[in-house]
Amino acid sequence: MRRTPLSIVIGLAVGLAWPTASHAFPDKDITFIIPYTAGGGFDRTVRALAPYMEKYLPKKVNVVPRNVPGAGGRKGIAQLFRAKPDGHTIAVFNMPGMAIPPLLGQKVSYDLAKVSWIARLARGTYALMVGSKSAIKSLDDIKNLGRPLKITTTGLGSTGHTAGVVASTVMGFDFKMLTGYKGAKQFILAAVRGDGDASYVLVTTVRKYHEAGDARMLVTFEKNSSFPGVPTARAAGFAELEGMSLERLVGGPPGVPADRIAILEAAILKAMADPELKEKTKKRPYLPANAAETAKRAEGVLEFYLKYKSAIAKQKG
Amino acid sequence: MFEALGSGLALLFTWQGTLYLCLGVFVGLIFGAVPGLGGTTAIALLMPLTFGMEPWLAITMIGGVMGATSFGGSVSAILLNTPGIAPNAATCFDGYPLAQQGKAGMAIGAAAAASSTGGLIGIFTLVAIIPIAKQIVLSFGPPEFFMLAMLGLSAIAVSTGNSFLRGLISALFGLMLALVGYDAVSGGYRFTADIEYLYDGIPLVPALVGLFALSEMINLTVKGGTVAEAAPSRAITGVLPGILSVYRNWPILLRGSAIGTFIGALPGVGGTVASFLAYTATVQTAKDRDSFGKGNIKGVIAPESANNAKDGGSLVPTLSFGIPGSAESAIFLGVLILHGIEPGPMLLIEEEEVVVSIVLALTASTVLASAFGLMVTRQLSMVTLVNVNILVPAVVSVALVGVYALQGQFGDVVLAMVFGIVGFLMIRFEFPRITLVIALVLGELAERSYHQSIAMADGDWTVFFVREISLLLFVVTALCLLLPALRYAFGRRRAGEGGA
Repeated sequence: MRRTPLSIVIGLAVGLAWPTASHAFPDKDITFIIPYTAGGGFDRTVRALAPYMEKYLPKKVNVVPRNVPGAGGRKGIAQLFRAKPDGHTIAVFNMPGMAIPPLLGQKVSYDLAKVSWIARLARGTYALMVGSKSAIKSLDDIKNLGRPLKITTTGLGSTGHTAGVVASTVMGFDFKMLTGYKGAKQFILAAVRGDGDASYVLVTTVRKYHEAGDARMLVTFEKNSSFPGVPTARAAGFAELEGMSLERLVGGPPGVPADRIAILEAAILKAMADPELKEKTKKRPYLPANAAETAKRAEGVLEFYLKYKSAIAKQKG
Repeated sequence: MFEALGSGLALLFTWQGTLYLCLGVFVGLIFGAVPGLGGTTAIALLMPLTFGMEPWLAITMIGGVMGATSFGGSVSAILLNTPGIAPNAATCFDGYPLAQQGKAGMAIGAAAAASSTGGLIGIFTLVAIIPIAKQIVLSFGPPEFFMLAMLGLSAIAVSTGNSFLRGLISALFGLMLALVGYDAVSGGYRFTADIEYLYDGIPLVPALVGLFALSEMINLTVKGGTVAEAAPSRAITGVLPGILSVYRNWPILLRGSAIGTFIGALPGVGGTVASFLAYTATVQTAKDRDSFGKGNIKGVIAPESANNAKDGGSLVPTLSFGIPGSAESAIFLGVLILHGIEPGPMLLIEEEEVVVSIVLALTASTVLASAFGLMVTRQLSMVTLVNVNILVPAVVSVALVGVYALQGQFGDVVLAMVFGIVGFLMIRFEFPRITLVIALVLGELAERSYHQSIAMADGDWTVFFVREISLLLFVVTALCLLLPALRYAFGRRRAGEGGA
């Protein structure tokens, strides 16, 4: 009988400690959903980050990258939306990739306006390329082509396809999309090979092909051109294309408590600033942004593509 | 180059190099043998381990995996009629009947010798054609891919088994299945019944596991007994004759390796097509065509030499353009990037060490994998003597776990089970499963490249015949289809003359 009070005390102590324990976030491993296959750009961005993120979390837990590929990224994001909003499940978002299906009138099981945005990892800028043996040497050559410009790309509804439609519309091209390539490297090769004329590509992806002399750049949507002698979109008179980008944003399901977002945000930002990680990723550097700015970027991307909704929807056969 | 080769060899023979190579080979063998897992999963799982390693060491380990998986997969194809990885599917046709006759040792011996020799031929070809790799990759556009798919589909004609009509029905069923999912041309989703799982189409590996592994297990349960029907002797022998049979049939070995290397070098076609083509080419040109599918050792040699040779071939686009030639080389590129090496057209020039490491690791791995495999052939072959009451639950659970581990998708498990039942019904009603698989594998490639060809030619279908390589492939396809008919006609006339 003497023990009874003790057990009550313990019980009480545990009971009282319970709410404080839940503040000690994170209290278990964090699942980091990558909605694409292993080995790709999104996968690499997250996998390199994960061990450094662990280093800067207030408690020692694992950050476990998990590939949930399928349906152009929608499967993974749908899975995130089904997870508990306790901060232990987060995902990397492809913006505008995730915003395009709704623009095309397709049903999705997530709502981008409700995501708990945490941070930005990277931002990709596009450029327009042709094969180095192509007769097309400038934007003017495209205008004087006398036939539609054939643009090699992945499938309708994909990020690359949409970017191509929007940019071609802005620049006033007569164009036709040549679809069905499995990824950026495949459609760059297709343009070099001459299946089509040109390709819209991420600057980081095309750089090597340009250096090797396989690709000729016509225009870059960067603020300052990183290709010698290649004009920027602004210089060519299409300043709005600077706003067209591929953002790699981190978010949680709707309703993650603000204090937990702050903990995750701090860990991710500190990880990206880690000199060791910076050295490892110097060829494809991170471009951090905090939670507030990330939310703003997500909204900005949505607005940008919404403007071209009719051009995008027109491609649907 | 020779200097780099020397230092690369020296690195490989350090204790670390040898250890990680063997580790890679070991993991590759196991992941290859377990249906559903495969090299891609193995490399994806090993990738985080390589974080702290020197790039060459990581690449050595990955090369070990790449070179070993297809031999690992052939063992389960032969013993259990279950391709460990998709490119081993063609090995089942003759490998499994051999196992049923109690000649598993011979089949595995042949597979080991064909794999390692084919792999070596693939790598030597790779090294030889690196200088002209770019031109090769650039000369294959959508029309050529379409014709290649047609050539592959023509294989259906010789794979139909006893009933031509049933074979065609299976093939058409396979083509229908290939249409399921996202269509890149229209952007629409076809035949998905609004199920999100089907958005990306019917995944090949779970389908294969169902069609071959699970259906075979159901069939065995119904029949009872053991895999090896012919009263098998306790001591399983025949490994050496198996090995020797490969070199006795050197034209088949060479052709299989050539097909494997060539198909491997084309981005987006893959080892499954390579081994099917090698198999069909062998059947079509053989004098004893009727013995195929019933345990002809040549039917093991051809696909096994092809699916290992494709590893060397698949590095052609990888090294010259940074474009993966296979799923394994895709993830290999991911590993390079993790280590700060940018794949792409400059890789050959800037990162000689990397190129030498992967070539050496692949070379060593193809030989090591076969050697490891042969050491345990006897023990492995015992599987065919195990009573089905023990074998079936074990294989089914391992196969389903493998399917689940592939992507962590429960849908894959359900799909595998559905295909298991479909496969069993096909066995029961004597519909060949193989024509279904050929159509399922090639249907998507055929459709996509057809659309692309027509789009790039602005609707002019002659695009398939005005390009030299495309035309050549068309002629080869036509010959493949006509040859048996011609031979039949000639054979009859000759027989007629003899009789007169």
